[in-house]
Order: sequence, then structure tokens, then C-alpha cells
Amino acid sequence: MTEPILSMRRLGKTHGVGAQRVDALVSVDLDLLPGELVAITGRSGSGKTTLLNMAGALDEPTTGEVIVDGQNLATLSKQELARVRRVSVGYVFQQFNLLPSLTAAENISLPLELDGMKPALARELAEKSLDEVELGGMADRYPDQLSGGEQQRVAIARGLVGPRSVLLADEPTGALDEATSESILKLIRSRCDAGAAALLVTHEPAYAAWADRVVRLRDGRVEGISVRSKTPSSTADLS
Amino acid sequence: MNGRRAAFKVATRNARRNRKRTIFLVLLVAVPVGLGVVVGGIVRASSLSPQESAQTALGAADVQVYLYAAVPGVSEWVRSTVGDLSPATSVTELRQAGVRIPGVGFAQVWDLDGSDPATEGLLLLLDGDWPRADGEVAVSPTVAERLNVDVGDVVELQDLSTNELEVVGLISRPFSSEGSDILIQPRGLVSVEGSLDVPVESSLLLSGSEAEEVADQLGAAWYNEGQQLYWPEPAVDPKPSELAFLDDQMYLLLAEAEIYELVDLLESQEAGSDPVAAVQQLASEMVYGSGSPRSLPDLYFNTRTQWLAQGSVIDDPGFVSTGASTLLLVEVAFITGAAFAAGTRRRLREIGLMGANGASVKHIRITVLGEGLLIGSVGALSGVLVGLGVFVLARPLIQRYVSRVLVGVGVAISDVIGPVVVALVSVLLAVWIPARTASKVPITSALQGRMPALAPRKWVIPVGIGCAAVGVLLVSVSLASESGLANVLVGVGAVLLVGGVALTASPILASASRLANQVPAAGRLVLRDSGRNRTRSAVAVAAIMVILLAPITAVTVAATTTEKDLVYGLPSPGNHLVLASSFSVDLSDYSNPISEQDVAAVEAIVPVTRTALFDTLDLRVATNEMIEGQESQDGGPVFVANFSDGDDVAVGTEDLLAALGDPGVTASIAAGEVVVLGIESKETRVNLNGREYPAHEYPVEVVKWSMPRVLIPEAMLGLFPDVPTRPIALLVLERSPTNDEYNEISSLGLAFNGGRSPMSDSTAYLIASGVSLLVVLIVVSLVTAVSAAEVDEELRTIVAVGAPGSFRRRFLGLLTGYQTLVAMLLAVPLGLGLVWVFSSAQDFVYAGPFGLVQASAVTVPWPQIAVFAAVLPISIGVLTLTSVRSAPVTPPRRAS
Amino acid sequence: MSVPSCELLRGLEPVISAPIWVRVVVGKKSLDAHILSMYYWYIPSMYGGFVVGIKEGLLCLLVKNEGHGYQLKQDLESATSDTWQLNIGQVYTTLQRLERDGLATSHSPDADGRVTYSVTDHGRAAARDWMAQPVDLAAAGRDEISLKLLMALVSGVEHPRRVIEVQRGSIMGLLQDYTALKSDNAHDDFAWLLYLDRLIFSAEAELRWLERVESRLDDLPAFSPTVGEKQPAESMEVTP
Repeated sequence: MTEPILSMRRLGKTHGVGAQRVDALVSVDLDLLPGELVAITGRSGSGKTTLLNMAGALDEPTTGEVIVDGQNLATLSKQELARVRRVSVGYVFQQFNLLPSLTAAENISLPLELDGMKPALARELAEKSLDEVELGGMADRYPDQLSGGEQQRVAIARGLVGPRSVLLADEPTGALDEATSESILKLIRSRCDAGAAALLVTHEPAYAAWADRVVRLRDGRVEGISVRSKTPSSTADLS
Repeated sequence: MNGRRAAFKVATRNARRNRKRTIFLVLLVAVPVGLGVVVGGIVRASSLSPQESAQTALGAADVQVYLYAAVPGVSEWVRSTVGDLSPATSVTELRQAGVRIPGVGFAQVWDLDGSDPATEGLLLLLDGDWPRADGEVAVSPTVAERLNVDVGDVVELQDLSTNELEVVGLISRPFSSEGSDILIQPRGLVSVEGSLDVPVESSLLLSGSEAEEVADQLGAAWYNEGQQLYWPEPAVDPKPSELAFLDDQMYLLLAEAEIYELVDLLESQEAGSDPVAAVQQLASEMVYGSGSPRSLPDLYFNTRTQWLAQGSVIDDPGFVSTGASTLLLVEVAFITGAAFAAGTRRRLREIGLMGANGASVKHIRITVLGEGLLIGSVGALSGVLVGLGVFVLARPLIQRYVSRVLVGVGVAISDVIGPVVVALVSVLLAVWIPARTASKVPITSALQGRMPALAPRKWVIPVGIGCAAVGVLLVSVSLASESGLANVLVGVGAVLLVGGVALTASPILASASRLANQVPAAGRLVLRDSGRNRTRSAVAVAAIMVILLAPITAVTVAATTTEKDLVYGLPSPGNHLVLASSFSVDLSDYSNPISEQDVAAVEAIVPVTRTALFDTLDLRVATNEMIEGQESQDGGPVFVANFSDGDDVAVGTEDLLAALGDPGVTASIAAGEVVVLGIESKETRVNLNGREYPAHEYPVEVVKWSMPRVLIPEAMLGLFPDVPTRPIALLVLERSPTNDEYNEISSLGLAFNGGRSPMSDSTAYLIASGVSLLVVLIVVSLVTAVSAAEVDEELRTIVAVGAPGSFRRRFLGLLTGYQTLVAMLLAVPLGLGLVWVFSSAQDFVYAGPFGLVQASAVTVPWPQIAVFAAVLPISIGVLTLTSVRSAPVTPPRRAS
Repeated sequence: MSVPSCELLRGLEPVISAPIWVRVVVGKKSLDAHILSMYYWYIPSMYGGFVVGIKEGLLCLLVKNEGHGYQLKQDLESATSDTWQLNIGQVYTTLQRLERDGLATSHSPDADGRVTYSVTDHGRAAARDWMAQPVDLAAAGRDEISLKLLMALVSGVEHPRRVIEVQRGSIMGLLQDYTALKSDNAHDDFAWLLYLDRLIFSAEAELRWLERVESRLDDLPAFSPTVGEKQPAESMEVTP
């Protein structure tokens, strides 16, 4: 069995104390294997984004632990956490994912360059990454010269550039129309099929359905998990 | 740590993307730097550095030995003594004579050898060749121009040579474009000395590595043995015992007859109550008072080391340029800080994105600081370039006003480094707090564009007060010292004081925002906005505060000066002119009495309504009022006795009374009373030549200096039969003379006073208010402009919920008015405090005929300041209200 | 806690064909719930097969070309990317009905004994008419899940939330499978994708409906999961 690339154990998050105490997450266990796309759904306030933020080392859990690439985040310093965000996980948000003052390629190479990679090499990897999201010719465009869908593609390319292998997508299609959304999901799916792992937060069942596993959160707890059939391709099943 | 380059790249891109803001801030930085460069260049152009001064005086030599009142033999004595002390030290004689040449005026005549290494650099050869033989001469361009000659021409200079002289070269003094200089053949002055009617000044230049040591030993040798050799024998030897109190050196200069005259005076009644003083007075007059003062031969030394030590830090062009730009850059730093504080809030999401992509706290700080660094360096660089450009363009103009020759760029690296460094440091300091704030925001909040509300930092008030206290301490301690370093420390102290007070703006705004629920909507929003966006609003307040310091201190200093001037009488009216004396060509001084012609000459220039040509008497005037509790520097009592410079008394002629136009004065003089032109109406006593007379003082505005303050009726003239009278004139003009008229009067060769009204308090106040209103408006508009984007985003919501479009104007008007008010509340105590700290170091008393006042006393013009403090915020608010656009037309700024 | 009583207002027939109105009464409070009927026939593998459309399908094919029974069956199957597996007998019956109703005419059998049908003017109009009519979603057949939920509510055999969760898990799995099929490039033809999308949207609608039912359940005090519990203040949602 493959080792999970991202692993959460009895993850809990509490905001406030006393009467203001709110449990955002209660003892969540979740593993993400390489090549796997896991969707997290649930209503607003169910803890989806909190979970994602802790997976991406943006937030610290109150209880439990997060292990990314074999590193327990709780044992890392702030500098090292920043490094995890540079080299292990990549974020895609709903919109405004790109720094407006950098070109597409520069946006993608930013985490690599921040990690000290030579600009030329980072650029090379960024261009490769752009090819993978089918935006080969757009390396030198600025975000305001890209459509919403293209911006999200660039963000996905950035999320998986170089050594990064875990994509954390928080409602990546929230600001897009139906058809573009589907192409974005398809892209994430194909990147996962190519070996990346992705954690997708969405409240749209149709988008969650692209995942191998759909984890439904309710009030900070896992309410249910539905798994895709391993071989769903026979048409006969549908008659 | 790697990745800095990437963070810096984001910084440069941000600067490029916000092009308008970047250009605006770059210009803001460039202006003070450019100004500093220009000011530094002007200072450099108008002064000589210590090295240059040394070259002007010494050439290539190391010591100049002046042979003062030289008698034959001194020069030889020096030469032989130096030769004994140090054979390696060479001695060159330098001779100069100030000769009046027809068509040229005074010219300095030199006879040095152009090829002598010792005098190299004293004169520069611009063209042609050095004069080497009789019949050759070199002149400075000024002389060449006045005589209309050029190299190769022939001139006649009768004093210098009976023959015609050929101009073989053009010379000039180093660093100077002016000056009439004539260089004749080496040692030429020795041969013509007899035929000149002016003395040839002679000095000896010592050069060599031991020259300065030799000079020390030479001085000692002169004191021990040399001077005895060349000083005259006393005319009466031994010195009469009665004159034992006379200075020995002065005694040596007295002739026999004079000695006996002094002895006689001592024994006669004429000497008055203090015969010793009278004798000393007479002896001084005998020795120094006549047209050709006598003196004993002496040696004075001027060494290169002394020249080099002369420069003070504050005279250095680099220091001046740095100081000039620092003043403005403090202001620029505040505005830049406000711009970055507003920008950071707007760009929170981008900061969050960087954080989510693994940028560390340091990286984020670099992106903000890097932008500041970029703006600072581009601004400083363009400031330097613009400053150099302006200076080079203005050089012909500057050359007209300065005597030194401007060569090359005219601005040294050292003039540029200061402003550039200050610009970089101040911009980096200004963006430091926004950078820190940006890097401290949690990434999850930043991603949502939320800046967590910051509690007022507890350390701000103590640190602010501490800074201010240290500033006060530094200023007062440093003011007591005179060194160049102390001047720097005074500046540092003042900046600390201002900075400390500025720091308290933030907590003040925070506490004021708690009152928000007590006021109507627009005011509430203003209070809340200033309280919440404290970084932005506090720097805005500080920026305005710094500007307000100027009028507040100016008004206070003006009021204080007026108060102090009052001890010398009421302020001079601008339309009075007192002609005191005219130039005497024979004596080369202003010793001729005023005549009808002089008055007529002035009347030909300006319209005069009344003229009084009246006699003055040279009497000793005193009120002899002892000032209780005051001691003079030598411990004696202090008297209010300082009447005007001549201690003169005027004769109250009809003309004068009419010119003064004061009925009280006229009546008193008619009644035979002595009148004092003072500051209030009261009975008093006046001591004239040791006798007291009752007098009446009237408040009369007369010219402060030259004009006698005591008037006596003509009938009293008989009381002072032996006192010579001297006529002076009081002219009452229709109006104050214009600048041109004033200059024309100046060129008449008269010693005169008046014609200039010192700026009255109210004028100074009006000008200060007007100028500060203007500057505050500029600063306010800059600050509002940089924060408008942020403010507009909030206003959009307010208008969306139904506020009228004019709400924006009301809001911005109130905001600027409020910020000006808070700035004013800080600036008033700070400004008064600054004046107080600076004057507290002055430990003396202004004592005039009409009272005395401590120099450290500060007169605060409370009514003016109160009106200023109340009116300025309102006017700023109203001006903003009427000038800004109504609806929030700025569309929401989107990151994409 | 009182067990809520549930009063069916109208329509609970073995075949529910209209929106179901339920009044749920708890103590003195009551709530009218409007449970939309399900369009079960769009989701064949869940609720059964297609019951309508053969007639209209054949008619439309005839408008394009005349043809005999087996040919028409094959055309129809290929047009629907083999998602309709038709019985040849059903085809012949339907064709005879078309002829009976004057929508088509039959020609004499050819050499192989195959009867060719062609469309009549009346049939052409009927086909056009059919296209112009909206599908009557209210004319649904059995709606098992609605019934199950209502029964759970009334009988207490199972907690309704559990019913929803099980149903949701099942539909979600289905949706994942459909989506997986969609990403499978082997089926890159239009009709296939059209049907897949149809299925996906229907499943999605079902999930939405379940979501809504769940919310309504939450509003019933007896079923509220959060009684005495604070709603988690998750404030991390980025709202556009």
C-alpha cells in the first residue's frame, strides 16, 4: 500500500474559550494518497476551509496532527512551515489567485524562487507546468490579460509546480461558469490521474463527484464518505 | 536565506504596477534631495573650504609670518632665526600693496615670482606668461577689462613704473573671479616702494615639513629676545610713577610731550571724578585715535593647521545640503508612511497569497521594504540628477552673486551623499511600520482582506514622551556648547522631540475614537476611521503637525522679539529716515556731518513730507536706575543706561517737533522740559553729563538707532557750552521707500537708519498663517490623495446604504479638519516647547533704556495662536469640502 | 419531547403524481412542508425504466426517413447511444398504434416480408407538437424515496436523517460514477454525454432536494441536530 502524502489524525480545532467556545473541527481523520482526489463537502460553517487551512499549514490544529510529506507540522518552526507551503502544498482559491504584478510564469515560479531556486530553472519548470495546464503560450501574460478560467489554470499549475505534489483547492470554481468549472475540475482530475494528490473543498455535489472519495463534513465532524466504484465504465450498468 | 531576490522582484513589480503612486512618491523624495544638492552647491559656490582658504592665504607654503608694523631688520632677524632653527625650512617674502590705480580703483599689487614653488597657488596664470622683468606685468581679468587691455597690449601704470608696461599674462586669485590684481616683476615692489603713497605689506612664507614647528619656536624667540631688539626706547625713561597704571606697550608708543600732557591731566581738575579713566582715554586717543595709529612691531603667525582647523561642521556644504533636505524629508517620510499604510491595507490579499505560497515573514517584509528602497533610491537618484541639472543651469545666475570661480559641476560627492542617505533612511523608516504590520497579519486574515484591529500599543506613549524628553535634554545641553558636533546634536535633539510628540498622535486618535458615539454620523465615521486606520491617520497628523510648527514658532519668536525690542523703544515707523553722517573721502569713514545737500539728495529720490535738520550733542546720557537683583558679568550692578549708540541728545527745534508730530512732546519742550522718546507716558529723570534733570517720557515711534532718545529745549543748550554739536536729519517720508529707492539712497554714501519697517507682528502673523494654510493644504491633499483609495472603498458602502453623494465631501472635509485640529493640539505645545528650549539656553539680559528682559523669556501671543488654532482646522475642512469631488466615483479596485 | 404527528393533506396514493403537501404538527406549532415529487423516470437505474417516448421517438425517426420495424429499432438505439434497449415487439406494437391513430401509414411488405412505415401529415404535425410541449414533470410515477422519508417521519422506523444520509451516499456514489464515465474518453460522443449530463444534473437535483429536506428537518424542533449546541462559527469562507 502507498504511503499517504497528507495525513490528518484526530484533527480538532476550537475557536474561542468559555461561552464563546466553538468547535470548528472535531477529531477528523483523513489520508490523502498520491494520485488521489478527495473532495470535502458540507454546508457553510461545517469546517471545510478550516480543514484545508490546516492541511496547508496556514492554521494550527488545537488537537491532533497533520503530517505532510512525512513531516509532522506541529514540530516545525514558522520558517519551516513557510517552506512546506513553498515546496509541498499548493493552494488554489476561489478567485484572485494570482499576484497582479507578476506574469503567469512568474506567478508559477514564485514559490520556487522564494525557495531560492535559480530564476532560469524556476522559469523552465513554470513553463513546463503551464504546458500541463494547456496554457503553453501564455507565460508572459499578466493576470488581467487572462480569463477567469485561465487564471485558475495558472493557479493550479502553480499549485503543482516543481516539487509540489499536494493541491489544496478551496472552491476553485466558485467564480466560474458551468462549462469553465467543468474544465477546471477535469484538469484537477487529470493532474491527479497523473500522480498528484488534491484536496478539493466544494459545496457543489457535481464538482465533488469528480473525486475518488467525497468526505462530507457536518458541524466539524465527518458525516459520511462516499467512494467511487473502482471500475465504473460499463454502459450495461445503466440500462 | 534565499528567496530575497524573488521577494524583491515582487516589490519592483508592485512599484511598477502602482505607477502613479510610485511616480508621486519618487517625486516627493526627489524634490528635497534635489533641493539639498542645489543648496549644497550654492554653499560650496559661495564659500571656500578650509583647504581652499589655506591655499588663498598661503599658496603652497605652510606658515605665513606677518611682519606687523615692521621696522627695518625684523625681516632679516626672522630669516636668520629660521635659518638657525631649521635650515630645511625655506623663507620667501611676500609683498603686497593696495594701490589706487586711475580707471581701476583699488588694486592689489603683487611682486611674487610665478615660478617659486613656495608661492605657487597664490595666483593662477590664466593666459600668457608670468612677468619676469621690468616692463612686464600681468593683470587679473577685472583689471584687464577696466583698462581695456589684453595680453600683448601696453599699459601705463604710473605708480608702478615710469615706463610703459607690457601685459604679458592674465592672472587671478584661486577660486575667485573678481578682484583687481596686478603682478609686476619679482621683487618689483621693493624698488617702487618709495614712490608709493601706501605702505607695502610684507609677510614671510615658511615652507617645509618643519615649518609649523619652526613657527612655534620663532614665536618664542621673538617674545624672548626679538621684540626687545626692535621695540623703541621709551620717550621718558623711567616711566613716571604717576602713570604706572598705563599699559607698558602703550607707553612705549607715546611721545615725550604726550607723556607730560597726561601727567598734567592727571593733576588737573578737568579729569573729573575718575582721573585714571580720563588719562587712559586720552592716551588711547593719542596712540590709536589719530589718522595713523601707532603700533609696536610684532609677528603674527598663520599656519596651515590653523586654516584647516577653521572650518566648522555646520559651514560644510555637505552638512548644509543634508540639513536642508532633512527638514523636508521628515515631511516626505510621513507622507510616504501614510501612502504605504494605505497601500498595505489594500494589498492585504496579495500579501496573503504570498504567504499561502510559502513566503515567510521576512519575504513579505522585503516586498514592502523593497518597494520603499526602490522608491527611495530612484527618488534620491533622480533628485540628485535634477538638482545637478538645476544647479548647472542656474550656474550663470549664481556666478553673478558669488566671487569664486565656478568650475566643473560645482557640486561635490560629499554634498550629494548626505541627502541621498537621509532620503533612503527616511523612506525606509517610513515604510518600516507598514512592512512590519503587513508581515504580522495572519495569512488566513490577509487572504480575506481583513486587517485585525490592533489594540493601541502600550509602549507608544512612554516611548514618545521618552523621545521628547531626551530631545529636550539634547537640545539644551548641546546649545550650551559651541562645537560643530553640538550643532548636529541640536538637530538630532529637535528631531527626537518632534518625533516623540508625533508618536503620541496614534494613541490620541485611538482614544478620541471612543467619543465617536457622541457625534452625528459623518463625524462618527471620521473619528472611527482615524481611530481604526491609525497608522495612516497618525502619520497624516504628524505630517500636518510638522508644518504647523513653523507658523507657531514664527509667531511666538516674532512676539518675543517685539517684546524684547521694546526695551530699546517702540518699533521704528517705516517712513522715517535718519541721516546720521556722510562719507568722508579723506578719512575713508563716515565722519562728515549731514548737510543740506545730503538731505536734498535724499529728497530727490523719495517724496518727503517733513524734514528736520537738527543738532545733536554728544552727552553721556543715563537714567541711572539700578536694576535690582541683576548683576553684570563682572559682578557689578546693572544700570538701565543704554541709550542709543551715540549717547546723543537732540535739540528740540521747531522742525524736529513738527516732524515728530507728537503734541505732548511739543508741549513739554515748549515748557522747557527734557523729553524722552520712550514707550509710555510718565515722569522720569535723565542724567546728562553727570547731572540729573526731571524729564517727561512719551511713547513715540521713532527710528530705533541713530535717532537720539532724549530731546532738550533749545534754551538748555547754554548749559553745555563746551560740548560740540553735530547736525543730523530726520526725514518723514510719504511712504516707505521701495527697494530701488532704498538702494539708491544707500549709494549716496550716507550713514542712515530707518526706511524699513520691521515686519509687524500682525503682518508676520498673516504671512505665517497664509503660508502655513497653503502648505498644510498641500500636505493634506497629498495625504488625502494617498489614502483616498482606501477611504473611497468605505464611502462606497456608505453611499450604497443611502447617504447622499455629497457625503464624501462632508466626510473628507471633516476628516482633514479633524486631523488638522489634532495636529494643532500637538503642534501648539510642541512649538512653544521648542521656542522655550532654544531660548532657555540664552543666559543673559536684554537691557535697554526702557527696561530689561531676560533673553530666555518667551512671550506667547496667545490670542493669535488661539485664533490660528481655531480657524485653520475649520478653513482646511471647508476648503477640502468645497474642493473634493462629491460622489465616490472611484470604482472598486479589483486585484485582477 | 413529543413525537410529531404528520398529517397528509392530499395526494398520498400508491402512485403519487402531484406535489405532496405535508403538515407536520409538533405540540402547538405546525409547519406546512411542500415536498416536490420526484422525476424518478429520469434516473432509470434507481427507480425503473423509461415508460414514455418510444412512440414519439419512432414518429420522429419516421419524419426523417421511412423504414421498417427492425431498422427503426436500430436507429433509435443508435440515436440514444444504446442507452435504450428496445424490445422489437414493443416497436411493432407502437408502429401499429401509430398507424391506427393516423400518424403513419404502412406499405405492403417487400421481398423479405418487411413492412415499411412512413409518416403522414398528421403524424408530422404530432411530432412537431410533441417537441413543442414541455415534459410534464408532475406526471411522475412512483416516488419511493419521498414515500420512505414520509414514512420514516410518521412511523419512526428509522430516523429521517439517516434515510437522507444513506440516500445521499448512494446518489453521491452514483454521481461520482457518472462523472468518472464522463471523463472516460472512450465515450466521447454527443448523445452519450447528453445523457450523462442529464443523469448527473438529475442526481445533483436529487442531492439538492435531500439537502433542502434536511434543512426543513432541522427547522422541526424535534429533529434539529443543533438543539442546545452552538453553530460552529466558521468564518473562513471567502465571499466574492
